[in-house]
Amino acid sequence: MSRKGFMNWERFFLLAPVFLLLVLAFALPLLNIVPEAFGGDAVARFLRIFGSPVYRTVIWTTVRISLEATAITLVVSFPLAWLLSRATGAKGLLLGLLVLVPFLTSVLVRTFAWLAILGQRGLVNATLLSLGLISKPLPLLFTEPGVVLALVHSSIPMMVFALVTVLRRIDGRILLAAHTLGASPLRAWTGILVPLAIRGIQSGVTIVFLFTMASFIAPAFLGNQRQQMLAQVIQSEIENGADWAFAAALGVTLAVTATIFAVAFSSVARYFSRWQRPGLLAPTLPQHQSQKVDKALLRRPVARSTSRLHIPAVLRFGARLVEPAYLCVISVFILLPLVVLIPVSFSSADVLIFPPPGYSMRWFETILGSQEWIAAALTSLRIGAATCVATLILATLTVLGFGRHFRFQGPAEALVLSPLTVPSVVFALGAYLTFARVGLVDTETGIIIAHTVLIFPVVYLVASATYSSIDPWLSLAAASLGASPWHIFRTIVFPLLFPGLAIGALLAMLLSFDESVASIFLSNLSVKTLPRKLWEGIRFNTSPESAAVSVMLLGVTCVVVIAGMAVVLGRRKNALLKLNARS
Amino acid sequence: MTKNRLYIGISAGLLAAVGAIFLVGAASAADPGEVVIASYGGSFQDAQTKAYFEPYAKATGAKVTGTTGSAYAKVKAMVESGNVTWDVVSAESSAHANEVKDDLLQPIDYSVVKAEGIPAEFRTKYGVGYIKFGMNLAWSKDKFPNRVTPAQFFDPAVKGRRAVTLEPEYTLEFALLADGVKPTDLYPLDVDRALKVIDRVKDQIVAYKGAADTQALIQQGEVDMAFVPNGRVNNAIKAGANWTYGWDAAVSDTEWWVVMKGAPHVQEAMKFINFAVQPEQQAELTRQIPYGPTNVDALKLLDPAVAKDLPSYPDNAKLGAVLNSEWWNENRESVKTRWNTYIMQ
Repeated sequence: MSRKGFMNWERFFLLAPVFLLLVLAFALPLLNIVPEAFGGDAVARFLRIFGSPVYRTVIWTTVRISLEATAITLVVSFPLAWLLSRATGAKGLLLGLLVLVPFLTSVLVRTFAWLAILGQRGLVNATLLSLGLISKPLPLLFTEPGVVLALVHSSIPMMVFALVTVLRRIDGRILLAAHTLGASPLRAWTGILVPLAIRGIQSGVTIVFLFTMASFIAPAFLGNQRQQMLAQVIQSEIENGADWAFAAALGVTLAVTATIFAVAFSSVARYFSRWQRPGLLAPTLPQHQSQKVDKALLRRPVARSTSRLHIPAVLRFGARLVEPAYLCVISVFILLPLVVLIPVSFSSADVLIFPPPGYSMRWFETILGSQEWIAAALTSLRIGAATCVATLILATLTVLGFGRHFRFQGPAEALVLSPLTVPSVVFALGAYLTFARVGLVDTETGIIIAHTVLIFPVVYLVASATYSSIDPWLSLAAASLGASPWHIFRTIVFPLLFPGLAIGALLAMLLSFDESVASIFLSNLSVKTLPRKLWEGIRFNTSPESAAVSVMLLGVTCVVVIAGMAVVLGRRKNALLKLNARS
Repeated sequence: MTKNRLYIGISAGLLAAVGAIFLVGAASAADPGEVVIASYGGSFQDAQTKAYFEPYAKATGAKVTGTTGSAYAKVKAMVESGNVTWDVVSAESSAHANEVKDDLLQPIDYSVVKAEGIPAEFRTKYGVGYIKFGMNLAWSKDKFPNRVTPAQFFDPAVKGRRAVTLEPEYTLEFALLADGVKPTDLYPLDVDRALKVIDRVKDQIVAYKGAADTQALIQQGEVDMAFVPNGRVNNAIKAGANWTYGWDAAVSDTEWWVVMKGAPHVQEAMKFINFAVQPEQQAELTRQIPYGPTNVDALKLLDPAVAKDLPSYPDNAKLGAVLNSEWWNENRESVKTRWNTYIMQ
């Protein structure tokens, strides 16, 4: 290892593009919101927000709906995360896909599907009416439960991912030990699992809360005036309104409220996990200060656990069915919005009725024949391809720049991953305000830049995971044999990195194709991306045409997921083959 | 080694494909003329596209881009920021009056826009009135086989999911007319009384939506009664909704073509407006969506049965009222704030 001078120029040039992008296209837009909000008549503006009952109600509604959605998501996802963390083989793969695939589909599509499910002539009402349980359709749309339901559905993947990473590290034998000591399953969960997973719960709750606080698609489609949420007001102010400064002030309010709650969650989590930090023991003789150990417990014969309640055998059998029943229910809930659009898109009716009165291909014919939809799809494809290339190059440069040992890896990585933590509507607002000044709004370049900033962290994570699995000695061996750094990269690092980059490319393409929030803000007149056109289509015209487009987007997602799995499984097979060959 | 070359080959191939996609997309010839028109979206905009935008593009070869989101606030934002991307805007009377007051519009060039068939009151300095539309009470025939009167709309005993407009215009007048106020005594609006009338059925109003969204709700079967532009409910009926509507307490208004100040293609905008106000084009729009043309020559081109269903037909007009844009011009700010607070509760 050569001694580097004061300034490691190699690293600097490798990392410069990324940090340039982050500063110019991420930090600057975000910071730009602040002077926009506080410029001019700031006091009057903020008084207008906090003084008028309209906006106070909006803020309170946003917080309330977000808290409800977060709580319900936590309760619903915890068992799923536990099962996923314990599952292996085919079951693990299926559960993983169950959580991952909805996450990779567009949030527009998922929310739109709820219109077909909850509508007066939708799935739920049609089923209940045909079963004779109700005499007239239930009003499910334009109510708060509808909005909360859609938000819960969108948040489950994020909560599960956050919980799984922590739950995976818990040793399963602890639960076994608890069982042998006589704990009921509920006691084991609340007494052991939850405290051990508190960090995961905190990060999951924070992520989901930030996401729901910043969502505007669900309240726009499914909510009424009374369920107006802050992000929705910001978006409609930018789209229909005059006052950018007001929208910026609302954005600042959103960010500040979200931060307050994130800090509150963190404090609550710290309180509940204080047992993990017992602090220093007082330096005294142990015999005098420690509590007497209850040795009576040791003398009690440990027999089979007898539960205090004499549960009949039937119920005990029923208890074994809990897990499959739960998995059934949660799978139906997660997959229903994705699946319900398929029959609706083949409907011969003009509106979203379930079950469709007849079947025809006319909606697909309409879309494939429509110049506008095809132009929108090509636009999204172009933007996706450019984003894919840009993120791949940046991710490779960053991964190489960080290298194996980097003193500032922690903070630098946090910086690189920061776009993931900021609510996308706040970023989209800042990007709109900043890009408008330089004339980048409504251009493909502007959207490509915004997508690159948003998607780069994900690709970086994938590339970084792959890079850390590459044996560093290979590069050193090559160097000792006389290879130049570029030669090493070309012949050793890049081929080994390629599968990870391939997955990253697929992810980038997919996420860019489905990205709705920034596209809705930044494209309007000349540039119509597919999500933007879908957003307008759903707003102005709930016909199965939008369902057909959604189904095509779902199809694209499935194809990409299958391709990604092929890459991953191919790698694993190769690794196994190599292992077998070596042994 | 071969795998290495395979990977490099794949990467190079992908980069080439990306480049190709860009070239395909970027290829576009230079256009002779271009005009951007902003309207309201949905079936109204579809009708305008068929009757105005496409024929104009075909006749002159110009590139016509239609977009949505026409609103006074947006026009004001564009002109004040200096970033005007729209040329022609479709504005209702109240928006038009506000835009004139704030000096956001370009004077219409009447040397280019020749519209003899249009009465003088619709040819103002800053705008050309091109249709008369009515906001009507419509109801679902499945739920209400007999007619629904405006008084019944505001009767809490008549159970049904209702939809009204997002903006206070038209709905306040409708509430007052339903409560028995005569059209001649309508202005100045008694906003308190109107809000009290709406209060009676507030919990049964499920949606406060714009025109296109309300049509979507009607077609979806989400609402049973609605206060909606007559053209939209007509298109909903054509699309299969079992609805009908009446002219009692209808509030009619004019829609204007205006040109924004600082528009990028003023010449083309004037030529487009001239094209759009000709009798053939106006009649075509009425055939697509039953709004009344202002050009009296267009009425001669239409089926007499269609004329009976227009807001300007005398029998229909006397049952309702006409929106007074001057009153709204002066009072919009205060009323809108009250309305926004009211509908949130």
